Amino acid sequence: MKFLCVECNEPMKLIKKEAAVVPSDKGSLTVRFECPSCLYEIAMLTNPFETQLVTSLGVRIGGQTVEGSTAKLEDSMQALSGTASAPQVSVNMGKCPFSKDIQKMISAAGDAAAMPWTSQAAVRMEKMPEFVRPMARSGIEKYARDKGFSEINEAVLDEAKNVFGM
Amino acid sequence: MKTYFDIAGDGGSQIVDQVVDIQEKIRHKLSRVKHRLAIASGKGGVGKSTLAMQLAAALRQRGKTVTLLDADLNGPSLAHMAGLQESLFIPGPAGLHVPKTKDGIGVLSLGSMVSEDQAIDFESVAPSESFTWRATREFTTFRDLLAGTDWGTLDYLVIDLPPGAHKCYEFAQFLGSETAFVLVTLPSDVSQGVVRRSVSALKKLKNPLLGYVENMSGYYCADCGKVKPLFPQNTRMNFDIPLLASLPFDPRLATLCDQGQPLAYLFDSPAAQAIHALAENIEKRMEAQP
Ligand SMILES: Nc1ncnc2c1ncn2[C@@H]1O[C@H](COP(=O)(O)OP(=O)(O)O)[C@@H](O)[C@H]1O
Ligand SMILES: [Mg+2]
Ligand SMILES: [Zn+2]
Repeated sequence: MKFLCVECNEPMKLIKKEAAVVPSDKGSLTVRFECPSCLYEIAMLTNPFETQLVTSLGVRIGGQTVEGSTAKLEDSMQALSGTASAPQVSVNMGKCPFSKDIQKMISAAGDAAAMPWTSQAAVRMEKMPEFVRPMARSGIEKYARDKGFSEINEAVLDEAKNVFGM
Repeated sequence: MKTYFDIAGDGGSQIVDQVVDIQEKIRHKLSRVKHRLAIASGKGGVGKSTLAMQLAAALRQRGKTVTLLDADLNGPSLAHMAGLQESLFIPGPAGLHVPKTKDGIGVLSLGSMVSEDQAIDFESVAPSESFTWRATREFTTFRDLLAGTDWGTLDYLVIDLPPGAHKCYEFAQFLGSETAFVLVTLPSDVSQGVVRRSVSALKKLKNPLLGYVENMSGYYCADCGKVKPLFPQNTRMNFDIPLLASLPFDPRLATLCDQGQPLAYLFDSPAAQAIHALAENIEKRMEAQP
């Protein structure tokens, strides 16, 4: 879908200055565009079906996740670029088709204190399919806690890899 | 006034670019996989997963590197059959690390992740309409799985497909024309009829159709050592594709599968012989592919 400013005969662009894509809790999406020439602004408002169409494709609108908050996006950007302020960064949990089940499992497992991840370990996590990450994270953290590790680094991941199916 | 095609790009959402990107990523991730083989059938419960598992074990025994991919997202069964329900998904340096059985067969199945007492749910923001999006969502999930996994260097990637003649067709398109197909049927007229439909669906595409396997083509009685008929003696329908093997029903095979023991070749029986014949046959035909 494209939007044209009829006045200027110019395609409208996603706005740059603030969040261009704002999801609502009712499944609607507000996406703001502006004409680069006259700066006229419009907003596209989707119904839940239209939002679902996009999210079902598993893509990001204009580089922003539809469901995820910008905070999560910043985390993953930091993890990827290695610019996180602390050595540990949180892991982008991503959008997950099984989220309900997994949320249940995580709380059942009594996920007390979240384990810190080194940025290298977090980068590895980013390379996995998004829907696998929440389950993997809770499993790995449980493994690390049982073994008495205080953080998740690449060595812990490699060890777990060897324990669980070579 | 400008029209859609007068304007470059797709309006800023880059959806098309992103889909192309991920396809490129999948191609790269699978570039060191020599053969892709899908086990399919129009019908469920005919032994697709069992055959996929046993075939992988037989190929492994013949010195091949093999990974099994469970594409049945709703009824994943390979984790159970391979004894890998308790496995953890660990991120390696190049994506998801594929868990392996003690015999070295890679098995990627959502059954390792979502326990059997849980339904696999695809969340939907459109209330009570999740079925509308489920198919798209399933393929997206499957695509992410292909793109985010470190498949490594393999002789065979064996893909266990969900049932459905139309599913065969969709997966054939999705997996690309390099993916060869083997179909599984029971001797009954009903099953053969459904599989025939899958054959004609697949014939519309370029994917190599290696042939079919007749499963439960008789009952193997361990007491007298003979294979007795299990279904009425129907005539075999003409599928126009080669019969690769006929596998008798053997209760010990079912038990091994339930126990998560992939080694059907541990015992010497007509079923084990049929699986070995199948592996040999498939190897010959796959090597002959251009
Ligand atoms: N040749 C056989 N001998 C004994 N049991 C079999 C045989 N083929 C399949 N089974 C059993 O039949 C059931 C269904 O097989 P499965 O492989 O799960 O079918 P599908 O994947 O086509 O749905 C399983 O319990 C399996 O152990
Ligand atoms: Mg199956
Ligand atoms: Zn304008």
